[in-house]
Amino acid sequence: MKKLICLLLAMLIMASMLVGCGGNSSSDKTDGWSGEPAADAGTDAKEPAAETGGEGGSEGGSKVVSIAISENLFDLDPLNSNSMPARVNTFNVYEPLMEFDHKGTSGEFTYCLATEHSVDDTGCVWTFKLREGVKFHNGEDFNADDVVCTFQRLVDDPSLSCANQFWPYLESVEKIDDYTVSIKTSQPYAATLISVCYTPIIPNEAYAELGADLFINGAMYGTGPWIFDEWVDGAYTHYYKNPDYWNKENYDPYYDEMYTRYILESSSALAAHLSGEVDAYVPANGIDTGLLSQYEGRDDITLTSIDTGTFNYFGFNCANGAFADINCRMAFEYALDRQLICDTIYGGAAKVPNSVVMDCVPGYDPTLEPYEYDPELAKEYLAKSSYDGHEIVLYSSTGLNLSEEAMLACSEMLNAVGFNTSVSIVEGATFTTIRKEGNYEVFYINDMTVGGDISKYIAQKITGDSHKHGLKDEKLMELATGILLTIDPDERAEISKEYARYTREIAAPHSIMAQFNCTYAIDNDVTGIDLWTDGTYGFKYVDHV
Amino acid sequence: MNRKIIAQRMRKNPFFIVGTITCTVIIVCLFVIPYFIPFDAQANSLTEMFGKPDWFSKGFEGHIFGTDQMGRDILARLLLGGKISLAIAFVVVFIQVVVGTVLGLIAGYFGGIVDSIIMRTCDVVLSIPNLVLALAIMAVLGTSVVNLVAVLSFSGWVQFCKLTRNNVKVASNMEYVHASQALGSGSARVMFRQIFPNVTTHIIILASQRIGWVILLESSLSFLSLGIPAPTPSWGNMIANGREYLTLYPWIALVPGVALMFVVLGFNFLGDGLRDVLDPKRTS
Amino acid sequence: MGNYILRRIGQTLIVLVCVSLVAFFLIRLAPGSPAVLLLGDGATDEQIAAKEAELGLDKPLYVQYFRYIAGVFRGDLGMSTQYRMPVSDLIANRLPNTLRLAFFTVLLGLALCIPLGIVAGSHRGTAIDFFAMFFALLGQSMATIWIAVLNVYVFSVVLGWLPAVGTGTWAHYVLPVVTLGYPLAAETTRIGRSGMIDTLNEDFITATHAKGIRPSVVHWKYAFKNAVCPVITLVGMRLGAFLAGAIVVESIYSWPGIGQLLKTSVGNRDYQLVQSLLLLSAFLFALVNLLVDIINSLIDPRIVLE
Repeated sequence: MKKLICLLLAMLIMASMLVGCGGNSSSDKTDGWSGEPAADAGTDAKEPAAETGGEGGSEGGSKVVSIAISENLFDLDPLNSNSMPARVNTFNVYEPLMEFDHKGTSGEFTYCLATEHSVDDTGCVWTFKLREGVKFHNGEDFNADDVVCTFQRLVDDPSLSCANQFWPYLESVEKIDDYTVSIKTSQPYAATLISVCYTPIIPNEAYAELGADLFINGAMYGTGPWIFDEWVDGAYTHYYKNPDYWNKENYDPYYDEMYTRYILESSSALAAHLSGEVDAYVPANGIDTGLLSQYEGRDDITLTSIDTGTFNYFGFNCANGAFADINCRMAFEYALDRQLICDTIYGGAAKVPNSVVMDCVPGYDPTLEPYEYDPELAKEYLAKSSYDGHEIVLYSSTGLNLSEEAMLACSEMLNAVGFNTSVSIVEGATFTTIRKEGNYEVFYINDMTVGGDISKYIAQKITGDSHKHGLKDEKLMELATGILLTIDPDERAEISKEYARYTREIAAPHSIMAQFNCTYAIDNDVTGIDLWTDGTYGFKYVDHV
Repeated sequence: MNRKIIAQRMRKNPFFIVGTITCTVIIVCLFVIPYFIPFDAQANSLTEMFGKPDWFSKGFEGHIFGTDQMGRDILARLLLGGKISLAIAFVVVFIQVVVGTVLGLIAGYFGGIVDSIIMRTCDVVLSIPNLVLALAIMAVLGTSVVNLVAVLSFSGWVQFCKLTRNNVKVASNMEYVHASQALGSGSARVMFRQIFPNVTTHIIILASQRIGWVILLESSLSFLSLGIPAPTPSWGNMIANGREYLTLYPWIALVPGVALMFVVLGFNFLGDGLRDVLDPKRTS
Repeated sequence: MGNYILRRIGQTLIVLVCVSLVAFFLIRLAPGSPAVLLLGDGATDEQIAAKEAELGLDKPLYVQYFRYIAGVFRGDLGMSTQYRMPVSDLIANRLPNTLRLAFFTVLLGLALCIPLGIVAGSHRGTAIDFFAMFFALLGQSMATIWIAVLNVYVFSVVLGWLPAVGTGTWAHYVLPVVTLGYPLAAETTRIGRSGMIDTLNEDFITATHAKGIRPSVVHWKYAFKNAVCPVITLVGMRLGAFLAGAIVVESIYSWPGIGQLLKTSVGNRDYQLVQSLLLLSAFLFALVNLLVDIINSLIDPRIVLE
């Protein structure tokens, strides 16, 4: 009897654990790791030729592509996609009115859900003609109501990341007829078209029914070439090909299914790619150069390097502490051997930019020289400064790749010219708080020129001063506002040039450290992964050779 | 117990002998070798990154175990990191022993409500997993050596407390304890002079086994970037930082990993040996 | 026994209340507000204040705490700020993955410990004993990250036998389970061995010898039953603390379980999620330990539940 009870109890523990296991068997098959011996023929990355060559093999089997990225997805809401995985997810499923090549305001724009656009003389009213005959994945027709619904949501809730990142001046949206809408901004915002490209259109009828719960429930209905199937938190997102995609004549993907996998540990992700479990590895900021040689001898994988607009910079607190003094900032600038750090710690995959207006941004001035490494000059500036020798903490975040190494090297260089610095690499949330409260003297972090334009950077970090640089400099603010509000491209480029020269002159509020060259690894037979020069990427048009 | 018997058991017990030798050799190395090598464990040398181990081809002048991702000499870091890891482990275990034993004595001696409160506190600490507690506390306090010691100490005293308390429960019913109380000895005196000696053996055994545990937990915290902050090396953060380069520059992670394994192995041998040696139940 | 269980449940409730308090205040003490982390760099102070109001973070702490506790009693664990999804859904999605991992880890631990520990204990001083002890001490001497990265390197990168990341097929279980299970097996082997040695020294075993019962029968029928109790206790403790032990392993193998969720939720200051995960962890810990105590008292009648 006792034995029986004992056995029952033991079973209970086991059973309670197996509850989950029960549901496992069905998901086993659909997980679609291309390395697994399941039914999905034609995707085994190791022998693509053999698999796809045999016509019998792929018949009936679903063709799957699987792409690994390095961050986790947290939020499905297309208008709140703050991170790379969220943006990738959003633009696989949803489409904006226009698309572009991420090369800033002077880039090449193409029509997506719009077919025509115009702007009035004030530069504030943008009118779009919409494409007819497009359907959302739930069968709803695409028309002006959907666009109005989307932009109205941004107007109503400016805390949505799409609104606060891309629409600082959005005022209203108006339906003119079923296939014409106009969007009004309170200021003539230079990056309006870029913002349009970052605004995915959501279906109004479905949204009216459930509100934002629509996305939370995973009811992701877009117009794009991929239909959202499921998101398994911490693991992957799965999409099916949209058989009724409106733009089928231009893009009809070879693959029937796509997986985006979230693999945060870079060595594991690399191992997964090398063993053929995924078909491409596209981490944020590229693959660490220290790991690249693992791909040597792999003829089936192509490494692609892109000179991007992602950069790392120091932010000074110009209101309090040592760096309120321009001489201190100057000493800082000349004390750093940026080239050495780019060549060694960043493994040569970085170069020293002359200012935030980098070579991938309109208004780049090649004649402007970056600060040279000149410890003697740094010492001179430091001697002139009011620096009292107190300890300066170089803050950085654990979330930033190689932050510890870079900060240690910088600290050593700074100490060599007479600064007294120490390094503190803090956890991301703590870092954000320190910065938000202006509780620092200098910090080190990365940023990117989203869309190949510095509007977002300027709006948030200079005029918005979200990191509390505390610099009260009228000329700087005037130039910054000029970059935001000038629509004429040539005039804007001139202002950008002047801005670059001026920030370099006052060495504030930021000191640009390195601009990155990102390398991604993609199987030879996979094409169409967009790797843009701003350091972002998109998988919408993925295809097969 | 008879010292002679213990000494005799020590000589006979292979685990004890191996453990003692390993630990002694490692500790001696940690303190002696630094005088021979010309490198600073924390000085970066960006031109010498990822240097291959020279082994002993250049004597102590070369990088015996190579250099890491900052061009720092791995042997120098290994020795400094070992000292720090071991120092932390000893301090942490000492704090755990003191806190755990005192609370255990109090709980076991007084019983009743005091016992309940202390035991429930133990349950609370036990039911929040070590790493989680560390994750939360380090996020609150920030990473520093002192905070790390605090976190590690906090998560491990419970075992000492429970062990002491259970032994005290048994010991406090002994006649000599009652006699001592009848003679008017104060609580503190009875606790520390009469009861405490009964539990020391168990505490020594547990403490020697905990050294390794602390070193291992520190390495897990380093993986979560919650270990000893840069630039100070510890074996945990050396492994954690070197793991990315395992395929290309394996020595960066392998060397501290192997060192850590030997030290923990040494202390585990020592702990097991001590248990056999000090076991009061054994008579031979 | 009914009384005993009732009292244990009472104790557990007290512990859970304490854990909820600790979790609640601990995560709020950490620098960083969920509203700031959620809204990102561009948010204005007004937007942040509005968000905090929306999340109920502007209320006094005790109001927030009682709201949370009231929610828990209604079965509502609140909303995750980062995911903007009910916490219960998030946990329900991920818990099975962690439990599956735990199940196979324990299975591996027991499968190795029972033969090794018991045989070693009953053949003290032999080659088997030495091998078992070496296996055990080695397993307890390696850092989890170390085993994990070596496993990935050897079995996925060099040999290419096993997948490095993800879930799905049985092959995906091998590396995480081995990484977690080997130290566990090592620990249980040690405990099993010393339990066996202790038991064999006891009087009732001597009595069985005197009665002329064959040693193998004695070992497996009488001694084993007693030696296995500490093993079960240990496994219970480890199982109860599994959420944490799995943080490292789940991160390296990209295993979508609770440990990974906990790590990111602390990073994101996702208050409701952290609180609920800690509460869940404490609950599981208490549950498993209660079951362990009951099982032990059934196996060994000398253990009295008090």
